[in-house]
Amino acid sequence: MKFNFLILFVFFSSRIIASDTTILSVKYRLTYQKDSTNSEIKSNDIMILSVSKTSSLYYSYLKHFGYSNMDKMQLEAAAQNKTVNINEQTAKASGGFFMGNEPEVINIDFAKMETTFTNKFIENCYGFKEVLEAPKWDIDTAAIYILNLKCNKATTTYKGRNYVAWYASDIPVSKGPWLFNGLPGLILKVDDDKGQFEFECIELNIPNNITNVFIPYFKVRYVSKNVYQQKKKLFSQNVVEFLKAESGVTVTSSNGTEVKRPNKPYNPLDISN
Amino acid sequence: MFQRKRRALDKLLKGKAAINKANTKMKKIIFVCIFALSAMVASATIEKGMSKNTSNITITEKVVNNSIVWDVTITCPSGATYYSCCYSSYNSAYYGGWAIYFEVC
Repeated sequence: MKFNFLILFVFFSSRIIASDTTILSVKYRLTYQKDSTNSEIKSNDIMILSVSKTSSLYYSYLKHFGYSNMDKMQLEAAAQNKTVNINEQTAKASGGFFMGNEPEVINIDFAKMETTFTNKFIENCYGFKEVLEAPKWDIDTAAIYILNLKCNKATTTYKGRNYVAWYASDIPVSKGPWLFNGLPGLILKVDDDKGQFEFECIELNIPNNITNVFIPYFKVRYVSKNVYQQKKKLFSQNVVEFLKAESGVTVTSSNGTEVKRPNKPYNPLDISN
Repeated sequence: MFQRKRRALDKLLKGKAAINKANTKMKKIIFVCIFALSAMVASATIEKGMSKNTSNITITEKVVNNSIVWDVTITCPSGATYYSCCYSSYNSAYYGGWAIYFEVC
C-alpha cells in the first residue's frame, strides 16, 4: 500500500516538475507606506507569488480579483445582450473597490535570468525587461517561527533600501516576494529598516489553487525602464494629469472648468535611481 | 405541630422558587424582545444611510469623428459631479472613472 502511494507521489511530482507548471503558490500580506514622511498611515494589499521550476509570477491578488470579476460581469451581461449597470454596489462586487491596489506584475525567468515588469495604466499596458539582479545576502543564525516553519534571518541592501528577511530552509525554493530571491529557502517575511514595507506570508498552497484570478496583460508596449518608471510615478501621483498626458482624456467639474489635482506622495520600493 | 410548620415552610419555599423561575423566564423574554427591537432599528438605520448614498459612475457611448468613444459622469457622495472624456473602450472608461472617483471624491 505504502509502495503504491510512493509510486503515485513520484509520478505526479515528476509530471509537475516536467511540465513547469505552478508547484507552489504563496500569499503575502503587504503593508506599505504610500507617503514616506507619514508613518501613521499604512496601506495593505494581498500579493501572490506563483512559483514554477524555472520562473515566478508576482502580482496583487486583490487587483486581479477585481479585473476577473469585472470581465465576468461584462461577459454575463453581453451573453444576455445587456449593458452593465455601474453603481457603487456593482463596482464593489466587480472590483472597482480595489482600484488602489498594485497593478504591477513581475515575471522572473530564472533560466534566462530576466525580469519582466508589466503594468496596466487604465487604457494602456506598459512593460520593461531587465537582467535579474539577485540581492547579496548576509546570513544570520537568528531564527523565528512563521506558520509553524522555522525561519532563519538574512539581511541585505537592495535597490536603495535595507531589508531583513526570514526564510524557511524546509521549503528549498530560493524565491520570495517582489524581486527577493537567492536564499536557501522560501522567503516568508521581509521588512525594511524604516518600517515602510513589510511582506509576510499568510498562506502556502501546494499545488496552485489560489491563482485562478490572474489575467495577464495583453498588447503590452515595452519601453525603457526610465520611461516605464516615469509613467508609473505620474500614474500614482496624479491620475488626472496622467490621463491627460497619456490619452488626452480630460476631467471637468459640473461648471465646465478643468479639474487640476495636486501631486500625491510617491514612495516606490525601488529607490536605487 | 412541628410537622405542620415544616409543611407550611416547604409550601412557602416552593412558591418562592416558582416565582423566581417565572421571573427568570420573564427576564429572558424581555431580553430577547429588546435585542430583536434594537436589531430592527439598526438595520433600518443602515438601509436609510445606504439609500442616501447616490455616488455612481455612468458610462455613455458616443460617436466622435466616425469612431465610438466612451465618456464617464462621476457622482460623488457629496453630490458633486465630474465629467471625463473620451476613452477608447468601455473597460478603460470603467477603470478611468473609478480612478477619478477615488481621486476627486
